[in-house]
Amino acid sequence: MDKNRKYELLYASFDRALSPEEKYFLEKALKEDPMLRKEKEEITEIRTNLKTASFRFKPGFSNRVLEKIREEGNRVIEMDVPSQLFSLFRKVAITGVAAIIILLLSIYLTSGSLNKSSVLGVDSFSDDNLVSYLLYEDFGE
Amino acid sequence: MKQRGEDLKTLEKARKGDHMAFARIVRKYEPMVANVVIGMLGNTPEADDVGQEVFIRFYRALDHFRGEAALGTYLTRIAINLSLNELKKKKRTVSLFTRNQQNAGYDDISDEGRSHEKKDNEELVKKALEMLDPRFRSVVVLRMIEGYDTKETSRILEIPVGTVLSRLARAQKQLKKILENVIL
Repeated sequence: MDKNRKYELLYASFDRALSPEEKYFLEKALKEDPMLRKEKEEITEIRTNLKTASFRFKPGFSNRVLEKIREEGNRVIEMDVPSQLFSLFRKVAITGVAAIIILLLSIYLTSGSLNKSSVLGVDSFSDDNLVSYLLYEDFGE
Repeated sequence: MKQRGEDLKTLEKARKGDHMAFARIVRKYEPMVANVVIGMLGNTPEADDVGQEVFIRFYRALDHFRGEAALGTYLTRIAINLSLNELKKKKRTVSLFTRNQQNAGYDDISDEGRSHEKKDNEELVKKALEMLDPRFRSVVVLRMIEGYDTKETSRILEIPVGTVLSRLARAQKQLKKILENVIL
C-alpha cells in the first residue's frame, strides 16, 4: 500500500468514519508497519493533550465585560438625551404647523381670502358695528 | 435542548434589561470563549480584549438573536471571526524582525523541552498551537479543543468539510513536527 495513503487514512480516521475498505487497509497497515503504529500513538497523545487543555481569561473577566457594557449603556443614555429633546421638539413643531394650516384653511373657507382682516377676524366689522359691540359689552346687562 | 431552552429564558430576561441574567450568560460561556480566543491568539492582552468584545457584540445583537443556532455555536462563531480579524491586524504589523523572533521561539521550546523534561505536556501543546498557521489553528481549536464535529467546524468557519479534514491532517503533521523531541 502507498505510504502516503496509509498516513492519510490514519489522520482521517480521527475525524471521519472510514469506509469498510479503508478501515480494512488501515488495520492491515497498522499491523504491518511499526512506524505507522508509532505515528498513531503520537497523534493520539497530541489530541488527548489538546482535548484536556483549557484556557482561562485573567480573573474578573465577567466583571470587566459587564463594566464595559454599563459604560456603553451610559454613553447611549447620554447620547439619547439631546436626541430625545430633538424628537420631542419635532413632534411639537409638526403639530403646531398642522394647527396653523387648518386654521388658515378654515379662515379661507369662511372668509374667501387670507387678508389681514380675515386673519384677525374683523373683516365684517364696520366702525358702527364696533361701537355698538363695545356699547353692548359695557351696558348690555 | 434543555440547555438551549434555559439559555433562551435567560436571554429573554437579559433583553428586558436584567443585567444579572446577562452576567450569568457571560459566566457560563466564558470558558468556551476563552478556549477559542486564547487558543487562537495565545495568552496575550489582546486575547482578553477580544474575549470581552465577543460578549459586547453579542449584547448589542441580543434583540437579533432568535436561537436558531445554539448560543455556544453563535458565540464561537463571533469569537473565531474576531480572533481571525485580530490575527490579520497583527499580521499587517508583523515585521521580519518579529517573524524571526517567532522562529527563535520555536527553537526555545525545543531547548526548554529538552532541559525541562518535567514540563507540563499541556503547556507545550498550547505553545505549539500558537505556532501553527492560523488556518490550521482554527480547525484545531474548534475540532480538537472545543470538540465540534467536522460538519459543525465547517459551518462555523464557512469552509467545505473536505477543507476542514485536509487542514486537520496538515495541522496534526505540523503539531507533531513542532513537538518532536519535546513531549514524545
